[in-house]
Amino acid sequence: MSKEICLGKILSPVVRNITQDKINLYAEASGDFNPIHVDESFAARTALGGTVAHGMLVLSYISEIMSRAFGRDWSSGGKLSMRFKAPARPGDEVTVTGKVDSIEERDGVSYVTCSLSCCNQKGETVVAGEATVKMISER
Amino acid sequence: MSEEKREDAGITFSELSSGYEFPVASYVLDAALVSRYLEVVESEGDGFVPPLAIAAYAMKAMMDVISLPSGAIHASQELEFFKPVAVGSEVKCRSRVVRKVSRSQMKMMVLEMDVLGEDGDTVQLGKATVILPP
Repeated sequence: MSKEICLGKILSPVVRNITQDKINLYAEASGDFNPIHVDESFAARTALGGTVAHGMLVLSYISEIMSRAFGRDWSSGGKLSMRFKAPARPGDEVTVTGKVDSIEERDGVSYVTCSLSCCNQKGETVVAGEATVKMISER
Repeated sequence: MSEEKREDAGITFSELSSGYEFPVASYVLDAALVSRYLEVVESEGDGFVPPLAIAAYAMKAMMDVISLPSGAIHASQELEFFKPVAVGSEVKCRSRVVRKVSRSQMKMMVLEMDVLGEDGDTVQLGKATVILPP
């Protein structure tokens, strides 16, 4: 087990500003042009009241915090389970935080589980869940 | 909201059923695509394809086949990664509908996908819950 990873460790947060330009660029990069993300007049008439960021864009920030903390182990043995609680909107500043909640040893391999959340500048939770990483590189 | 049918997509939500398997989609995760993705998500990357990029393109492959009503939103996402994918690799995505709920006040579906690398090994599994406007 890396000495840097220990029970209770707070992961270095990831902070991102959501803008309509970024949402539009993500739509182009991902091919997801759902009007709830890119059509402001359409989105204004829905229950959401305006455009919202793609869930997968917000999840990319979640993946970023895990990738920074666990490096290649994240893409080699990571597992993510997240629920979308509230939309991330243009103008929001979102902060992804994480904490090591458990470290289990199974068959000589360490599995690190982290609680994760992404909150906006008002403190509202946008996405929450957990991730587990199989620590392959320490073997 | 009426169920719109995009010109470029085929099957609609009402035509989908639990167990429906999407056509296998293949796509190349080339350097330009990965570079553009990293720029948009503001990440430096690690020399491999970001796992969330693979998931995003797998989702797109599904959405290219179905025509969801405008305003469909993502409710939850599970992902599991098994190995890094080299930039320039071609991957295959198999996906299916594992659950569909269609009531007057609620429409949702659960989609599962698995992504295979060039050697045929699974590189990623995913499960997404999508809620549609009533």
